[in-house]
Amino acid sequence: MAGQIPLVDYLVLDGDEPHLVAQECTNCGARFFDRRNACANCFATDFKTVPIATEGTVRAFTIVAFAAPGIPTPFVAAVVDCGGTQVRANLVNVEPDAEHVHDGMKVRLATQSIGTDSEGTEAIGFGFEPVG
Amino acid sequence: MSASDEVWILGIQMTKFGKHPDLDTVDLAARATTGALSDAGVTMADIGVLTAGNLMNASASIGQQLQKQIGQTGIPVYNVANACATGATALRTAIMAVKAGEVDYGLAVGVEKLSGAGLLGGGGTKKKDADTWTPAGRYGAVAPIDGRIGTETCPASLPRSARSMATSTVARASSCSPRSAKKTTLIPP
Repeated sequence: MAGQIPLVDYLVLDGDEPHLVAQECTNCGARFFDRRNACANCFATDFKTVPIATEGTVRAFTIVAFAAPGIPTPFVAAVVDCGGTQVRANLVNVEPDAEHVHDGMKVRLATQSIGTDSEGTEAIGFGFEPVG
Repeated sequence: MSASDEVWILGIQMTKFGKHPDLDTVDLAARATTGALSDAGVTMADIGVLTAGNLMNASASIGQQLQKQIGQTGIPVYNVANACATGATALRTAIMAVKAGEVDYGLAVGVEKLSGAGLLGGGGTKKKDADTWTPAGRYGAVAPIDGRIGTETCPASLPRSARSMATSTVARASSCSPRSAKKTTLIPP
C-alpha cells in the first residue's frame, strides 16, 4: 500500500492489525490519547505508550445531525469502552439511527480512508463497527 | 479559613520570552504553572482556585485546558480577559479568593502567543506542502477531527508563535486563627 498516514497519531496502522495506543501514566495508570504535559489525575510526568483493545462496548452515543462542511450527517458520535479505556469515536458501517445503534452493543475498531493528498498519501481514519 | 488581609506569594515562575514554535499556549502555561507549584512547594491538590488570563483566545477556556493537562481536581476556574490588565486581573482574582478566606491557596496564570496581533500580523511565512497531509496539534491530526472522531467543543485554533510567555503565581493566606499559630514568611526571590 503506497503511502498511508493515520488521521491521528494515536492510531497505529500496523499492517493488518491497526490499533489505538494511549499514553499511560506510570504512576497511577491513567490513560490519555493526546500529547501530555502531566497526568491530570496524579500530576506525574512519566508516561508509557500502551496498546488499546480493538473490541469494546458502546457506553454512550448521540446521533449528530449538523456538522462542519465536508462531514456527512447524520453520524453517530460515541464513547466506546475498550477493555476499560474509554475511546471517543464515530460508529461506522451502521445505519446512524436509533433502530440500529444502542448502548451496550459490541463493536470493533475499523479503519476507513479519509482521502489522498497531492503526493498520493492516503489518510486513514478509524471508527467502530458492529460485531456480528 | 477566614477572611484575612495577609496574603503571600508562595511561588512564581515565568517562561522565557521567545517564538516557541513547537509549544502551544497550554504548553507554556503548563511550564509556568508546574514551575510555580514547585517553587511554592505545593501541588495542584493543594490549590483551591485557578485563574487563567489569556486575551487572544479569550473564549477558549485556557484554564480548563490547562487543568486537563496538569491536574483536574474539581476546583473552580476563572478565565480572565481584561485587555492589557489581563494578567494582573487574573492575579487579583486569585488574591481575592484567598483574602476572602474561600481558599488557602490560589493559582494565577497568564499566557499569550502574540502571532498576528497588531503589527505582527503582516507578512507571514508561506506554507509549503499545503496540500499534503501534515500532522499537527496534540493529536498529530492531519485533518480536522470534529465529526470524524466523535464531536468536541472546537477549541480556537492556536496561531503560529511570534512572541510568547507565561507567568504563574501561587498565593496563599496565612492563618491567624487561635488553632494554628503558624507564621508564614515571605521569601524574596
